[in-house]
Amino acid sequence: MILVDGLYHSRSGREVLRDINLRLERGEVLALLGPNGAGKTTLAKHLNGLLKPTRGRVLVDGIDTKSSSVAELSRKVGYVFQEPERMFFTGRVFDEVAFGPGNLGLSEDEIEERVKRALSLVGLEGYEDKKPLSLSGGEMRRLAMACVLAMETDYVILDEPTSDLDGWGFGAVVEIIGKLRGEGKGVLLVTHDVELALEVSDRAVILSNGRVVFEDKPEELLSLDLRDYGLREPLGIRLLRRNSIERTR
Amino acid sequence: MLSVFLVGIAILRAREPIPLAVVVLLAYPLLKRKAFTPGVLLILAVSLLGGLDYFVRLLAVAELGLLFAETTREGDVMGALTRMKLPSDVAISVGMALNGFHNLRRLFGEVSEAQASRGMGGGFTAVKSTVVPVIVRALLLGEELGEAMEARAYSGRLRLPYKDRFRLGEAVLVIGSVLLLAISLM
Repeated sequence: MILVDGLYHSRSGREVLRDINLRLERGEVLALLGPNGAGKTTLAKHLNGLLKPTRGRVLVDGIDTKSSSVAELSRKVGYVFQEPERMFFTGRVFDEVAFGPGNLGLSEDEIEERVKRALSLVGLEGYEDKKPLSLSGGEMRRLAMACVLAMETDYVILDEPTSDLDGWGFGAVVEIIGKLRGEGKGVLLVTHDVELALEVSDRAVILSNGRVVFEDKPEELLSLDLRDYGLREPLGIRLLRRNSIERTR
Repeated sequence: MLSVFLVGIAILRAREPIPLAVVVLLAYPLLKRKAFTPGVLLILAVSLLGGLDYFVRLLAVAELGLLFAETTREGDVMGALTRMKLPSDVAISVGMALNGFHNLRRLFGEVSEAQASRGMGGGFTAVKSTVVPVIVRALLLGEELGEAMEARAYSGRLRLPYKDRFRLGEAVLVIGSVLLLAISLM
């Protein structure tokens, strides 16, 4: 379990996260929602130690992130960054996916096996020799996921996994999240896409101005006026609202 | 012969040499004070030629680097260096340097396009307003890349997944490239 306990984080003298208390269990998908600048990515980066709490603590299976390096924590927590093209630095899809397992000290055969499995999981079989930066936006995002999946961590953080994706890409991400849950991994889904949260998450949290302002089952999101939280309502609700306004005229 | 060839390429690629007017303008205050005795002139000429020599050499090395980056895949170099039993960190540094070149070129293209689409013409102002955002974005990119590597368990010790079979041809090519670089700098 990942436990966030009374977390505060300050940047340039400004508190960007205040008194955050959260937990993420294995086999659970937790959606972290909020408008741009709410502190979602800042909070997510605490879960694998990329950022350290100013106050409070984050425990990953009982290990305090303050006393562990990112490299150590990354064996337990995988992080798929918001802009995948910024994490690629090799010239071949295979090398990119193999980088993480290579750091875990696995044998070459095991690395190859993991690369194949991860690429197959995200539907990129046969892409091994392509250049990462020559892929389409959706393919790059799936490659970024494969890079983390190949490390076979117990927890996976997906930072805005569906931004810029078309319908097929969106479907693929939903499928991957389902597979991760099926494998008993804990998934933190950082997003401002309420529809995605409704579709895949077990629990939803809304972050606003660095504070948790909502935590409940995802379907309870529909009882809120999401516009008050800087979130976009699902299309169905927007259409219903428009129709009811037109009827009352 | 090789140096001459590289220098030739460098001169051909130097599309915008320093205008003579700028040199005259810089030298004018000295001329006015009658400081150009034959001795000073000789030293100046030698210094200018020396400077030009180094400038052209640097251009030649840059050209060589460009040629290498354009025609070589990062994975191939990393694989070759690893099979030569060099430390993985050396291989990954070279691979990242090559990738950095491609990233810089991509950033430069993106920023130039953005500037041009907002009506920016050519000239020094355009170069200045392109270079600064490219540097800023490159620094941010470097930081994010570092985070991404750490997040994939990189702690300075890496085992690259290349079969450990030494290949003589690769070794000759790598050593030859390093020698070529050294010669063009000498």
